Amino acid sequence: MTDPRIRNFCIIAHIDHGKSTLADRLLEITGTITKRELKEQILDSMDLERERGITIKAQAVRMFHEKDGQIYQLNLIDTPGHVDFTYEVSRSLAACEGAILVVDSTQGVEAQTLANVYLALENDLEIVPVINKIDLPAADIDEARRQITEAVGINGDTALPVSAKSGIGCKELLNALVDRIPPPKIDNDAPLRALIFDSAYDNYRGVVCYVRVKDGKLKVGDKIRFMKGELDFEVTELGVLSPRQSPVSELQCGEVGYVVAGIRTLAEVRVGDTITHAKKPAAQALSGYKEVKPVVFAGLYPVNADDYDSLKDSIEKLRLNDAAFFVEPETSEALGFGFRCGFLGLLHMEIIQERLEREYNQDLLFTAPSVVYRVLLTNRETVIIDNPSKMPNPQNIESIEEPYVDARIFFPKEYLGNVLTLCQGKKGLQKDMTFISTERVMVHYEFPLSEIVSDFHDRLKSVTSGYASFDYEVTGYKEGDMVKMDVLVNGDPVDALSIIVHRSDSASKGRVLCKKLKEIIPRQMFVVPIQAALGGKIIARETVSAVRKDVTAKCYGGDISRKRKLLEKQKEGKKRMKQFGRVEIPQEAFMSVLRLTDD
Amino acid sequence: MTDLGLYIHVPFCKHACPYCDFYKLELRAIPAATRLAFTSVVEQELILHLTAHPDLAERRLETIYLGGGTPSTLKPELVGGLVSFLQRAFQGDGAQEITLEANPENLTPQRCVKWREAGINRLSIGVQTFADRHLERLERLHRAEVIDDAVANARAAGFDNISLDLMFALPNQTMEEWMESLRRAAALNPEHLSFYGLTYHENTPFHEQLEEGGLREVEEDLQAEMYLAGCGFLRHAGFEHYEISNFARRGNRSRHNQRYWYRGDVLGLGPGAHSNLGPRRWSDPEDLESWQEAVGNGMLLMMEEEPLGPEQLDGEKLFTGLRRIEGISRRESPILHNAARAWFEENRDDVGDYAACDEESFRLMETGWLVSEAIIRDIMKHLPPG
Repeated sequence: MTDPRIRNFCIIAHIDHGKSTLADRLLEITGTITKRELKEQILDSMDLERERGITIKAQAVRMFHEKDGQIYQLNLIDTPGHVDFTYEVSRSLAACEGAILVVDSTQGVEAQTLANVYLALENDLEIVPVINKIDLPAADIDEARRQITEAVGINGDTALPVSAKSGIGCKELLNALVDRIPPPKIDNDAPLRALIFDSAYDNYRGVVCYVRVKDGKLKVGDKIRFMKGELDFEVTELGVLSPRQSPVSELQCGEVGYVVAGIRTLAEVRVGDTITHAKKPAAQALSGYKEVKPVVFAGLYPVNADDYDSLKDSIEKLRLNDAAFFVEPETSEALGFGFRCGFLGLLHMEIIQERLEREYNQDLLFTAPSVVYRVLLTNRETVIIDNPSKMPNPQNIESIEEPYVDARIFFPKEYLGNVLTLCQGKKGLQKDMTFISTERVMVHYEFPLSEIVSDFHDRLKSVTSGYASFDYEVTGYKEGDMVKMDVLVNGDPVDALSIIVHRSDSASKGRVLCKKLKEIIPRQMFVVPIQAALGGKIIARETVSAVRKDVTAKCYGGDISRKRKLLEKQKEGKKRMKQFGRVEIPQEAFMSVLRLTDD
Repeated sequence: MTDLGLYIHVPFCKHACPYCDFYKLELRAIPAATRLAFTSVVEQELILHLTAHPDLAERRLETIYLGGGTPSTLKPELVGGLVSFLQRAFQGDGAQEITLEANPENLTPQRCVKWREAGINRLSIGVQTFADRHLERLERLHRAEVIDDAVANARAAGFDNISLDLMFALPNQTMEEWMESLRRAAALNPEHLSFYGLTYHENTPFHEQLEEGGLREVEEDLQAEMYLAGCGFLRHAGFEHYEISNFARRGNRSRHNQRYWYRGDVLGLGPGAHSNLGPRRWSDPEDLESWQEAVGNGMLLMMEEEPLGPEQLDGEKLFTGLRRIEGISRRESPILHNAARAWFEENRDDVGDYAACDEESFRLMETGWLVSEAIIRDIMKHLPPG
């Protein structure tokens, strides 16, 4: 049986192709939200999201649309728009029966378009292609149709031309959603199964779970069970978003809404988990659940050791809102007490870093991010290493495996040479190369994740003047000939500067790293040697010469106040430096290991 | 009865030098009436201070210093009136040291006599260099031969306390040029000498040219050598190197300038003048018109006024104290002495040539002065957190 009144869908698009604008327009046209409210909503959303043009937290909004005298309930489930959040995207897609695929008529198909389409197809979604921005002078609708057909593999002739900005074609799109997207299959009598596709933390009510009811129905007061988390709760509130939270007494099969059940921490709720009734549980959880595992790790330290407790506090608060942010205490000889943090990707890491600095006002020191290595020891034991300084001694290592990714890169053909050179330099293995139009190329490569985690994205942007788009997914592990490179400053190893490198790169990376550190580490009263070493063997060396002249010539009346203020300012600036032995190492030094290519 | 120094900022210059970052105006931009009224406005400003704080008049006046700008562009008669007014406004026998900053081209025989008559007993002459090509580059209005005449005229008028100001690390200056300037300066037998490495201050034409690449800073190593060579030369010539940039014959240290490094009270008068009374700091507005108007309306405009807390005072004591040959003493500040000592112990192997430290005092030597900023920053890390 199906519920013919309901359509559940999401919007998938490349960044800037108009996803949010289209969502806003649909909300406006269906009368879900007024123009004035739209503005307020935009103002309310997280600064970081707006600045980066991405959606960090998914939401689900219910709207109503009338077609041929019949009123339909359309549930728009928003999806995070970045590669780091692929799993979250896949769970949001699993809550839908259909997806609007937005392609910018001035840009064509991009890397993320494709990645998201693959995810949607895996989830058996009906895809409704839309060609956006048709009112711009540079729009090329026919070319967009052609690319949808050829690069995406969906009949481009079925694509609806729209302008999300002006609203052209949006009514037709709503009708198409009703016509083309299948209504949800329902079985109100089956044991309850509701898919958690997102969650958020609310200061007053605790965790709010966003769910799609797949089987049975859910009522306030129900005793529920999280099947993977194996935890029981009692539902205190159910509701839908329109787009503000409005409570309802039950969520029917096929519907989308939120559940509040006195859950105190996000750690208890896992996206992808299934909610069932505690008394009459379903036999099997919904498929597709995965444990989210961070793929990038970095050390996070307070710049002033005294701020440890306050940083810990901030991290705990932040984790309430971000279950994918992994944290455990860590101690570094160089940096003291801090935390080992795991992230879904580099963007995720940057977001956390910025939020801690901006919202929680913390002075932070991040070490260079590392991927997770699998190390097989000579005693046949396997250990997982997410911190280069914890790498076992070489004589105890049988082999090391590192994570690999599949990456797709889209760019105008004139940059082909640049991109291939870059990929080659990053140890890429080409798997495919296609011209998706007469102007644009898609290459498909396999890379070690460690190469992507370093400066790949920045370099890609620079060698293609910003015209490339890029997406990747972690595929598995492969053995590699890797070694730990230590860095000695003034004769002492600085554990937070250790990195894992391919043996073949170690000499050149050691040289570049020493040279960079020489530029970054301020001159001291004495000569400071900087060395890179493999095991005990020095492979590169630079010297920071001693300060020769640093004196204020004149110091009379007004100079004294100026001088004092300058000293006070420099003292503030010190906060970004870490005293290591007698040498001060600025924060940049710890990130400099990311960019070790000779320019 | 605590003593007091007076600093009068005279913001007039015939031509503004492109490296100078003091508040000044070119003469042609100032109406003659304003210039003529200047000393009387300074007098009014002092009256306002004395009215607001009658206890100031109880102070013993030790020094008067007319700086700028170019105070030697003022009429000596007007300065004479001002000096005698200032002398009478305070307790005691009047200031012992009354300095005028002067440009060599202003020190004609007649004017030198008039400056003596005005009560000036010390001249600080802006020589800068004896190489004409550098004087030209610095846009100075005098040439080397004028300097010799100026000193001779001053001596003839009876000045027995003359200081010469020199600069090193000028664009493209060679070590030979620098030493030659020093030799010629020493040959004039001044009682006092100062030399300063050229600093490219922000918001000056020189700084702009440096940024644009039109000027290049002298190599750091050469600057260091110039400084040390200059110190050595003057030491051998019998001068005491009593502050980072200052040298004096015995008994001829600048009493006024020492007030800054010993943090004695100085009351500043005139636009842009800085004052330092106890823990209070402020400056007069860097604007001739607003200063004049405010004083005319009976108002004292105190810019950037702030009372310093103990931590800030410690910071000042540290960097002013380390400029002096005596350094800082345990008696003056046990906290600073402890911090400096801790730094010295920690770096003993590397800094033995830079500093001298014992139970009672901590002081920097010439090589230490050369990197004194870095040392001060280092020592500050050893101060207990405030």
